[in-house]
Amino acid sequence: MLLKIRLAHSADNSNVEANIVELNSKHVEDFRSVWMNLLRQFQQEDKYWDLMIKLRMIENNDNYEGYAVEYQEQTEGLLLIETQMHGSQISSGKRLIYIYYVATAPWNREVIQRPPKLRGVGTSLLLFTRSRSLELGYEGRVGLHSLPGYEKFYDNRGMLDLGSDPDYEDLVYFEYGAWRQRLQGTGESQV
Amino acid sequence: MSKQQEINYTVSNPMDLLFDDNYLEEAVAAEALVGGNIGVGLDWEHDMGELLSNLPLVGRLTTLRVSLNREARQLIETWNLGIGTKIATTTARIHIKQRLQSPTPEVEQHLQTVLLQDDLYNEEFIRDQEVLRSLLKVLLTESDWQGIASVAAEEIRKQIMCQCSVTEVITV
Repeated sequence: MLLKIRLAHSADNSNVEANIVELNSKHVEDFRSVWMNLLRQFQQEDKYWDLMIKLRMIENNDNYEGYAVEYQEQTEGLLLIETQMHGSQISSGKRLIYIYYVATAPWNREVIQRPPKLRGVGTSLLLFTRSRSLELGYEGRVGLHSLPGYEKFYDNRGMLDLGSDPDYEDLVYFEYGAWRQRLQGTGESQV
Repeated sequence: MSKQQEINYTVSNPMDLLFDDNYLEEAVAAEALVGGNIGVGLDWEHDMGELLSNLPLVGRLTTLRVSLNREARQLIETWNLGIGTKIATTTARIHIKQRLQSPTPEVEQHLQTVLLQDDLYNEEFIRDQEVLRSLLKVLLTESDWQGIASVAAEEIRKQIMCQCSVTEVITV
């Protein structure tokens, strides 16, 4: 699988083409050998050991899928989703894609590099989950628990804030409902 | 970018939004608000050793953890602890995580048995209350429950003292 996406290059405000691809061993190795050193150095929230386990879960479970954003052969973002076990909190009985992990490369974070190299990586991965949800027949439904401090991003991206979840360490749960496309010129929308 | 704005886009595939200049500009601004950090999800924080050497079980362990959190919360909520409920639940959750991370040999044996029961892992939460209750029984020790009781009692004590001070019923 290879999906072309467009990202913003911070240095000159230009747009660049990148790809979303299925996660492979190169991405895991990039995370281990390149990302981890930088993340440790800057004490970012990502839990290294935990993610290594999560990434390896994909190999052993059909219901987990992993993807990466690649630009000029570098891993710019990572995504891990679960596709069969989670249900919507908005529409009872409807399945959704649950985001287990999503992250941008350290050099795309302002706390590590200013200005960050690329912008739009997180947005691309979030939109991709909606697209994957449509493919799986889940009507674009996506859920996630945001880590503290990042809630405003998901709020800003139009996800519904369903409040802190006591069973998930009080992390705030966000959900996208069904994707609705407005039919051009009619003002009506369809799922 | 509000939800309302998003549903007004005319594209059929969400990915097409990336090729809409306005959308990309707004998205980039939204990412800048959090400095490009977009972290999600529960984590385990550190190595859990032997138990997780069997990698296929890792996903199940997370399911088990949130299920135990929920079961403990629902149990505590029936105890009518009032203002002490939240802190009691939070403390129980902390103990559950600790016990799952560093299980005693006895607990580890129970965990392995539960983790190997395929039929429990079809949903976000395990539905079998009997399994969860019996696991909570071996997972949380008496000292854990003493700790939970202490923090709940302290919360109630603080509330009483706070109310006394507000209503000026204490004569010094």
